[in-house]
Amino acid sequence: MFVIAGREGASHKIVISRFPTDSAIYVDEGARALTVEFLERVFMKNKASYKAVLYADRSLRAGFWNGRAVDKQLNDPAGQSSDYWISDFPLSEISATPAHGTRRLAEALKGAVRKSPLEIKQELTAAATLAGNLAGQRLSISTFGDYLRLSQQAREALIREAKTPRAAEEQFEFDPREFRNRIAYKSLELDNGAVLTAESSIFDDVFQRRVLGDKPDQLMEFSTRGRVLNEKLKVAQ
Amino acid sequence: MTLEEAYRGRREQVLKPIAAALEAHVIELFKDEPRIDRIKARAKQVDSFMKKSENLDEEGQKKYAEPLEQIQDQVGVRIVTFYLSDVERLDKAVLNYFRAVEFRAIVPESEWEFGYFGRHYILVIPPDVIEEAMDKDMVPPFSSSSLKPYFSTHGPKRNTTSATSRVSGS
Repeated sequence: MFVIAGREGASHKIVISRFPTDSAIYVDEGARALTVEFLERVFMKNKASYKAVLYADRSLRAGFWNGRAVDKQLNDPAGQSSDYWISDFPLSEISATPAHGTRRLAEALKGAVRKSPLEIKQELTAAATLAGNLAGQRLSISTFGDYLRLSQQAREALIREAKTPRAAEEQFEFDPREFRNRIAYKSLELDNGAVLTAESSIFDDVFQRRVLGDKPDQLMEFSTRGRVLNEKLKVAQ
Repeated sequence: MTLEEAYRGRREQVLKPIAAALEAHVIELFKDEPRIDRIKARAKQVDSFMKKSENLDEEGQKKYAEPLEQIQDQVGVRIVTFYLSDVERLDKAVLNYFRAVEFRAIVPESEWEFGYFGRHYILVIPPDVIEEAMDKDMVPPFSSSSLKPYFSTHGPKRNTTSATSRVSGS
């Protein structure tokens, strides 16, 4: 493990990094600078396998409230850092709360579903349904697609809905409860083959139901009214 | 460049746009919460900032050696709700959606004294309100936020919650 402190322009920077335990770094101290070399052929197993955290700020007195953490010692395809490397060792925490990050993702999904063509709409709706399995995962709007293998078009549609590019990149811990509160589709399947789907918060408003009998499995009549936005036949699986 | 010129430039280029975006962002986050009278955000006035930058500590030394970096209420948000009972509920909502690096309960000495029951927070400014074109060195990391009731319906309390600090990483 090593620590480098220095300046870049007006900013002070501190990098803390950790390589595999039998790797080594050679430091040559000059009059005005340090020369740092990786001694690959001597000790280092893999220079690409490391953890690092960078804090930068103009002020030494009042700054260093924000940082960036990288963990290249994991097999996680989405690059989720270990808790050890954020909270346990640098005593930091993810800057977005789980609820805020999750709400931001839910709003982006809703916006992207509204504005996308039918194929992307269906893909994003399916992703919203599957997202409940991501409880506790650390992700961002940008990396959400990695978890659910979304198409490039679907990913871009999501990122466009973030208020700023940085908001799309900010990581958060997925909060399934907040997600359910913000986005949930209710689907009703009838024995005549019909499937009725709408956002759960408006389902009972857009589908009016009338009971046609008084038995437990009684007949129901559903009605709705609106303009057709998309119509497509789906190939049977 | 003098401190006043630097702050004036920061206020126009960064703080005022952030305050406007933050107000809209908080309104959106709290749109489902009942009994909110108003939500307002502001960029600290230049004369108010300059006056604060001259504050002295207990030893008579300048309190802020780096006012642009140390004064945390350059952007402020106030949420006014109707009743004291709403403060507890909204406190949970604030802490649900924002990282607080400092928190304080505000309690007047007596029910009739000027002042109010409420909460005061130093909150991390979310990236949703920071435009890409903004000079990042001018963007403060925090906003000062308060939660206050329009009417107080409970008797006075005198205990104050202490502040805590956190470092955030992303």
